Amino acid sequence: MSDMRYVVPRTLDEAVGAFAEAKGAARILAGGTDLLVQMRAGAVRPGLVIDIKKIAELTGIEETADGGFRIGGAVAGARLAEHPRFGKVWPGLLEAINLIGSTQVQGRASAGGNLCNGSPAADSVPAMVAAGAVATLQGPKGRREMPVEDVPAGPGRTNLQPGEILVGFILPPRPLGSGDAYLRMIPRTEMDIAVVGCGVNLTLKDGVCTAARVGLGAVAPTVLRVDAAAKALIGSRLDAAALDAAAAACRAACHPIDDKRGTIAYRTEVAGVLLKRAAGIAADRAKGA
Amino acid sequence: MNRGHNRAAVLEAHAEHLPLLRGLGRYVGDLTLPGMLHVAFVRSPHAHAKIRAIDVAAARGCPGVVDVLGGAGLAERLAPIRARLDPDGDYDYRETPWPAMAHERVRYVGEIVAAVIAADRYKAEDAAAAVAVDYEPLAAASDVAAALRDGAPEVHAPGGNVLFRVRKQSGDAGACFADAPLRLSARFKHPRVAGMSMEGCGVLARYDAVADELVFWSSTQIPHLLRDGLSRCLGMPAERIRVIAPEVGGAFGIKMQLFPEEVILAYAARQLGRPVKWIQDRSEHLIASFHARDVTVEAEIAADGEGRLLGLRAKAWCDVGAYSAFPLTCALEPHTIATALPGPYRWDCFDYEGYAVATNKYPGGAYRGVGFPIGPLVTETLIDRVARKLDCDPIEIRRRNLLRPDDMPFSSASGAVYDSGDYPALLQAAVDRADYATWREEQKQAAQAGRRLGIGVACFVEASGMNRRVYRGRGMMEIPAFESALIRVSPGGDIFAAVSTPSQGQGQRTTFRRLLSERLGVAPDAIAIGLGDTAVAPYGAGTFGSRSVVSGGGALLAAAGKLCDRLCVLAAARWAVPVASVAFADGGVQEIGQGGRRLSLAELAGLAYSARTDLPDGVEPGLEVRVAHDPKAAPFSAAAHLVLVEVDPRTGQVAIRRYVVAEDCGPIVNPAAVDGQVRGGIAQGIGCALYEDIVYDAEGQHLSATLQDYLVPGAGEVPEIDIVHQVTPSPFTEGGHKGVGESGTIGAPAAIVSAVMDALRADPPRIILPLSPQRVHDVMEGRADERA
Ligand SMILES: Cc1cc2nc3c(=O)[nH]c(=O)nc-3n(C[C@H](O)[C@H](O)[C@H](O)COP(=O)(O)OP(=O)(O)OC[C@H]3O[C@@H](n4cnc5c(N)ncnc54)[C@H](O)[C@@H]3O)c2cc1C
Repeated sequence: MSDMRYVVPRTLDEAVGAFAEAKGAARILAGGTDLLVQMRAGAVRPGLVIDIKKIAELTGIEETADGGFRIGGAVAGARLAEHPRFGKVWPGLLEAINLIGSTQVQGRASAGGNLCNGSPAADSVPAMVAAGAVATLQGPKGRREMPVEDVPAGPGRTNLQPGEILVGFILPPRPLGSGDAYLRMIPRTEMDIAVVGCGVNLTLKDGVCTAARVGLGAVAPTVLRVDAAAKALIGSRLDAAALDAAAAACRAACHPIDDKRGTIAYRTEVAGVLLKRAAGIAADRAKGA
Repeated sequence: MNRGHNRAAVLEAHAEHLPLLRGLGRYVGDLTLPGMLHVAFVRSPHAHAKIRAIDVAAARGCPGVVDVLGGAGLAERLAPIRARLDPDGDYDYRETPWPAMAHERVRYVGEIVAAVIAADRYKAEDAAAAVAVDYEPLAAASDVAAALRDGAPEVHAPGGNVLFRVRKQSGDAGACFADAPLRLSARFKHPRVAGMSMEGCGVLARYDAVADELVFWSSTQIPHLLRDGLSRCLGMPAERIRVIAPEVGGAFGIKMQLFPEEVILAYAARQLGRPVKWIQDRSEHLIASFHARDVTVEAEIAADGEGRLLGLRAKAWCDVGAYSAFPLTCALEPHTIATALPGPYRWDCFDYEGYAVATNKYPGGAYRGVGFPIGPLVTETLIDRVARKLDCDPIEIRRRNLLRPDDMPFSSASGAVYDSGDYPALLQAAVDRADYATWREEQKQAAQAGRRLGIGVACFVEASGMNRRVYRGRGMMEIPAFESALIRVSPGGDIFAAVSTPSQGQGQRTTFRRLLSERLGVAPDAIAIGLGDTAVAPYGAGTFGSRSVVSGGGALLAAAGKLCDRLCVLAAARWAVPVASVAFADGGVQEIGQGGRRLSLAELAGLAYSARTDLPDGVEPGLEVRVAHDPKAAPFSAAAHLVLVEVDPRTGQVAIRRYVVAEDCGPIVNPAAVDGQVRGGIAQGIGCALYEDIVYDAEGQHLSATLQDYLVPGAGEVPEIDIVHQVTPSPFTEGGHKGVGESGTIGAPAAIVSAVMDALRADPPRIILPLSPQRVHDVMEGRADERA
């Protein structure tokens, strides 16, 4: 076994510096619930592990003056669940994050790690995409922002530049009458990799859908934002025809793999089913039901 | 909720489990010895390959490495694992000697090709990665279809891949089926599954040079058989091997086979003269522990227009992997399915053919239920189909056909003898407890709201405590099939009992203590129990096949009887009266008649040991008895399961809403243990029905090596289970007991399939487990599973 170094920087600059300097031989450690499993399996063998959990900006949860949220990239799921306001504003997104793993895993797993791990089946990512979340990145060349849906590049890959670290997520303020929901399909009730995951975020005014975003997971090499589905919902009263059209749009967007977890036909079919159900829950929440 | 006992009673019943829950148990993993070394195995990445060369030089040079075993040299010093069947039996069988370490050819992914022994496991694993093996990959037979195809790769050339074939017939199936008003058929596939005990396997082996004895701690169900198996492979006298099963964290049948790892550890300990240890990790457990089931069945049922069952015929192909395991052989599954298929019914005709087919996969072995879950899966599903065809209620059709108490003892269509039981009353008990009519009403109302509920039923029997006659009938000559017990009373009257059926967490200590305390009329905690050590417990087959209470407990009761007889002789001699005028009662011997004298157990023990006592002729000093016990017949317990499921009409996901069991295992010694067995068994049955699947791809690669890939039911998947007991003592066993260890696992898959098909009102040509959401969805869409 080759030697491995472990550092715990206190500032973002330190972390970025160390990360850039290691030139690909380093890995960022947030909760480690993906990274350590991969290291144990021998899939990755980093020479340097950079623990980012001691950096204040990466571990904070802040409600901004305009009613938006900033969430540090390394915030554990359990922390978000304890936040007095976050789950009231973003119940669907919180559910998606809290679906990750078990109680033990929740104590460590972060939405940042979930996104940067690059799994097309990552549970929080479709809900983030639906929420319109923007990722803040910082690297040797400075800071930039990127919509969450642009972060994944393929299974296990992201569009982060060498040396770039995900600092956190910015969630936009919510108009009145908004609601979100995330549903995933797994054979059991918990602890599994999504066969399909679907996040819906929408706003209703007088029963009419004025804004919507849809994220789909596990049906393509990356999590998808499905604009055609959102378009089918916007302007409708979420009647059967609109939901059918949105479901059809989700199915059309699917190009899943065929594996022992699900066939192409099944994943595609279920994507539409979940869209309708998630839209229903989001609408109920938007109505304050 | 209906648990039927309070907290204090539960605590008492689980007294021996509390220390285990608090981490005070000593499992193999907890044991350490000075100078202990650790073993890591190098395993084949190929399903089938020739080994051109193994180079261990680099590994030998790694830090901390003490030795590396591998290559041809070892093969000459270790006899292969052999599993024989009686050559005179009514079947065809081909033996497949299994080298503990492969040196010419590997036949499954995970087969051991080298073992590294080092100062710790990390060093051993690192060095194992440095062992270079040059393989020449060969085409693999990855499943039954591939193994039976013309020109299929031969797992053991020459001679084809069918290792075992058996046929069981009764009545004239040809005529019966030709004339039958109703004939329905289906094809079934039960997945390959893993027992998934909480504790994996593990061994600590130490060679004691002074005593010339190998002390061998192993997480095993079969201390004596393991000893005998090691003795054969090592060429070392069995009486120089002491096997100790310390606490064992679940076994479920997996640990009743001899593992190649065990042979290698035994060899290494003796060779190196230092203790060696190996603790199986979870991936090893999934890849390289005995798998089970993996059965395809084609079956047809014949019935008349009133739903009376007439005939059953079936062919079963069991994918048994690359080798026969010791002691059961690959005949295990095909043989047992024959016993299981007829269930609690009478058949005018029965025709069964069973095959064990070799493939390039890990060998098959025993897993809770062995073959028995396949019986109701096939039979109950077909009975449901008859009912649906005739528009008859599934409960009603069973009522018409279940055997009745006055049929007992009954000789089944495949030749088993059902000793006793009231099967219709069992079904009624389940129906009453569930309030079946309200379930149907609920189903109707849900349907109006677009929801799909389904009600499933399964009636079945379970062979338990199988005796010498049963194993003789199957030709399984490696199984001694009897159990033994020893009772020793100290000079002060303290009682020690040792039984040959050890515990893997089922609570045998409590159960045996209760049995003996009731028989002798002494307090349970006055009795010490010894289990799981060949130097302590007398000879026996071990714990499996629901035999602990029937065979082990039977031996204990028989030994208690012998002890009481001895005490009576002692007392009669003391009083100078005939033995007929004294009797054992309530922990002592009583002179019969008014004002009769009495001697307590302690007083009698004092007499038995004391040099002052003039013992009668033929009575040996001291107070120890031992009995080897073979029950007169293997008792059959029985049960009826009723389950209510909900199927998501759009995704095919199945959720279990209610579960009711009515069971009859004869008199119950420890209700908590019986309920625990039923519940745990059902959890595993739920796994087989809905989630678990060891998948190999077409090249024989193992795709289920982690718990992320192999889904076992969790707390969220196991419903509250409501259990009703009925007691029909067996006329053939000491105490009338029948086994119950496998009952839940046997009934659950059939009951769940019945419920799902009821929800879907579907009778697809193929029933393929596990019923994953996708498979259920396919059934709803009328699509056949492309991967059947
Ligand atoms: C038992 C178990 C159950 C699980 N169940 C689920 C589930 O239900 N759904 C699901 O989606 N996932 C699941 N996972 C996977 C995992 O828990 C999640 O993906 C989790 O969100 C990862 O977060 P983490 O903080 O632990 O990431 P880490 O393991 O620390 O990191 C993951 C990857 O992202 C990189 N990374 C992390 N943070 C940053 C950053 N700020 N900037 C740049 N790169 C970064 C790391 O280098 C690594 O490559 C499960 C894992 C386990 C062990």
